[in-house]
Amino acid sequence: MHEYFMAESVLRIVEESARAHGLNRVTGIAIEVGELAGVDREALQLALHVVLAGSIAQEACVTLLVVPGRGRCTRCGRVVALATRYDVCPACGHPGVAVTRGSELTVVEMEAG
Amino acid sequence: MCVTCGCGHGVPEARTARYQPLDRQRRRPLIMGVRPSRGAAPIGGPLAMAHEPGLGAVQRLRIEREILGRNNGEARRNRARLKHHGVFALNLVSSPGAGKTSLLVRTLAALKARIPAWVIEGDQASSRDAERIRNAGVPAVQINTGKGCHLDAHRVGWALQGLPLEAGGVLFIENVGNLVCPAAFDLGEDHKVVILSVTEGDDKPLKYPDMFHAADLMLVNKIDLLPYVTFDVGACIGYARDVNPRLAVLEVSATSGQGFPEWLAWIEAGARAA
Repeated sequence: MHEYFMAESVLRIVEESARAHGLNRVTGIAIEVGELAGVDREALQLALHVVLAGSIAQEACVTLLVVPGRGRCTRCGRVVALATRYDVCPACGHPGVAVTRGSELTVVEMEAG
Repeated sequence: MCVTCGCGHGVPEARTARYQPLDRQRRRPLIMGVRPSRGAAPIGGPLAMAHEPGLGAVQRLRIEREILGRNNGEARRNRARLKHHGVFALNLVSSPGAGKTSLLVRTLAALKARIPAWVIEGDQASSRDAERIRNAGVPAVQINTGKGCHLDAHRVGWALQGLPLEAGGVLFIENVGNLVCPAAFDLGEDHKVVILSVTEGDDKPLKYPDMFHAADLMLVNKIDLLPYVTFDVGACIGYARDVNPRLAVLEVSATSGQGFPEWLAWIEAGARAA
């Protein structure tokens, strides 16, 4: 539900970065979206379509880079794949797996031409 | 290799993930790429594959900025300010109708003679809740989120300016009734307190796990109605702890006052430590 807010935040970051570098047309934006970040990628895409229209990034190709969830079990120490933030350790069944990757929600790169 | 920026154009693996040409006729952002992140590419960043020889001067910028960075920054400022004043802050979250405001009114009635208390009320529209709180004799600021589905740290920071904070007190932030979005927005609180009433489904923690994971305390409210509903308290707490093993739980009723001594003791212990 808050993907629209996030799309506005993406635009703000892109506008600030473009201004800082004296750029006035953004052609590409790369965003890392962790699978555990609680973001619906389709909703984010839809929101970006609406929010970027009419902006300096209206022609930008947007790539969402999906970061899979990973964590380290606090009991057995194994690094495991996580489908949700609350998965138990698949190796030992312990519920305490500390998330190490997959929470990303970051504008990593942009391109201007 | 791409002569513009050395991004490695021409590497076969990179070509397979290359951008499609921009559809300029649509005058719309063409959102096409959803692919696995490989982290930082060995040569150039994720956009390196977009390069075409002869496309002209293209400038790529590594940014690395958190999308929620601004909210998180404002939340840190709120937290520092609350700590500076010695105020204990709770972010109350629930579905609409779980009884947040009634619970708050009874809590304030018991608490206001003992410690200072303030309330920030978040609702989509109207100031009805803030009026209920003010009628209970406690300062309250109403935030209307309009089209928004959650409170954010910026609005809370603004509301804090209107409250006469003093050491040893407790600030209640009653969030918009919504079990999804408020989980992602830190407001600068000490704890999120999630309220679930027995007139809802006992499996809600499994259906809205992010919120139950983000909370430190769950209040099972309307516990006086338990004889009239099919709600398995034990199963509910079990589901909640599957999602969040460290979650504390109290069973309360804002109508009968059941469980209030424990709830008030929990608040006062937090306020003493703040």
